[in-house]
Amino acid sequence: MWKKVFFISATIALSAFISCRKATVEIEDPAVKVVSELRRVSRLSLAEMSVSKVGTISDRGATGFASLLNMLKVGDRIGVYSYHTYLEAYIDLDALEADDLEVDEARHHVRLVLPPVQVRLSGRDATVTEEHYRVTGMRSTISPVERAQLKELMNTTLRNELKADDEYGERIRAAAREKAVGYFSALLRMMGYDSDITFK
Amino acid sequence: MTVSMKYIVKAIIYIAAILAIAGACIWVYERFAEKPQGGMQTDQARIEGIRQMVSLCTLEIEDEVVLRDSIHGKWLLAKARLSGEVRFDLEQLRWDTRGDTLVVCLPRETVVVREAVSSGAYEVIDTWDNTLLGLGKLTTAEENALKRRLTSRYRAEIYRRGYVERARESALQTLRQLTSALPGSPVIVEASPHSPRRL
Repeated sequence: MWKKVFFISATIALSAFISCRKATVEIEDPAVKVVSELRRVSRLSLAEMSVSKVGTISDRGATGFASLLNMLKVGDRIGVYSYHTYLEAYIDLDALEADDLEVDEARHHVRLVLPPVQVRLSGRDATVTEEHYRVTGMRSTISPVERAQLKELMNTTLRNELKADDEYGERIRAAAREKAVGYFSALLRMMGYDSDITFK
Repeated sequence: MTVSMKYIVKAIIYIAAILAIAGACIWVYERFAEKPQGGMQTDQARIEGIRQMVSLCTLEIEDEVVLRDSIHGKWLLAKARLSGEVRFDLEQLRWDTRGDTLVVCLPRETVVVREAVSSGAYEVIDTWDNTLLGLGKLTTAEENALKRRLTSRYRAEIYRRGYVERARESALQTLRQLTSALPGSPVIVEASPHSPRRL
């Protein structure tokens, strides 16, 4: 009797397993493009700031029912992740006007007024760095969905921090101005001209 | 069966029922409740460094792509917004003199591919495991490998669509306008004698 039950269960399990295997089709699809945007720009990038953000997935921050549930679970679950976001300081060369450059041939002197330095978020690392990972006992591993949610949360808080505090912007703008003055004055010196470079 | 035995059996049944109901409630909560964000914290952003450069960017591309790829039998289906930029390092400009004319040579391009920073730029739609037991989850290293593959395919796509050639033409045009305003000898702007990088 038991042998029969075992045989039937094994057959059902095996057939279910085979049918599951057949249900998925393994095709290495290339990335499928959904939306595309192409912009012609004329941006002279002068400085790039790399900002690191660290985020944690753990039981500690949980409140209410979730924290009660975590107390009942056996083991620990903690993951610490980081990634970089990049700020770029640039000048828009399309904003240069004819009277922004004055040449005094007699004195071999050039006065150049550059467009204002602007700052933008130019992107972030697609990958994340796993700084720490410890999942013990009966706890489930940290899933890609959770990592994506954490990255989204980190991105939102970073954008809020950048909006609230212009320290980041000021530092990168200063570095960009310094670079622009250095580059253009060296270029003009190479051509035999002294220069006076300012920003709008 | 004695009376005390009956009570014990009843008690066991009640406890088992309570545990089963509690387990079902927990399962339903975990399954259908929104994932608690309370278990996630972020630290203050930290400046890692500032790099100065003189880099001319003439073309910017932003694409929303679907990533469907696998590694070690584990699959990932996600939506990602990528941004690509074609840049030319103006500190690498080569200046030569031909008679009384200055010849400026535009250096090779750099294609920078990054994930966009707008909200929802990376969303995981589904993950599954096609290995024998089918219980594995994608680790961070595996997910990173899939993302690297995606960005590398995207970079190749930028070359394939001819965007780099277009960016180079734009860069030459911008440099011609800039140098024409400069004092001194006439300036000719040329592309690098090397063909653009191909992937």
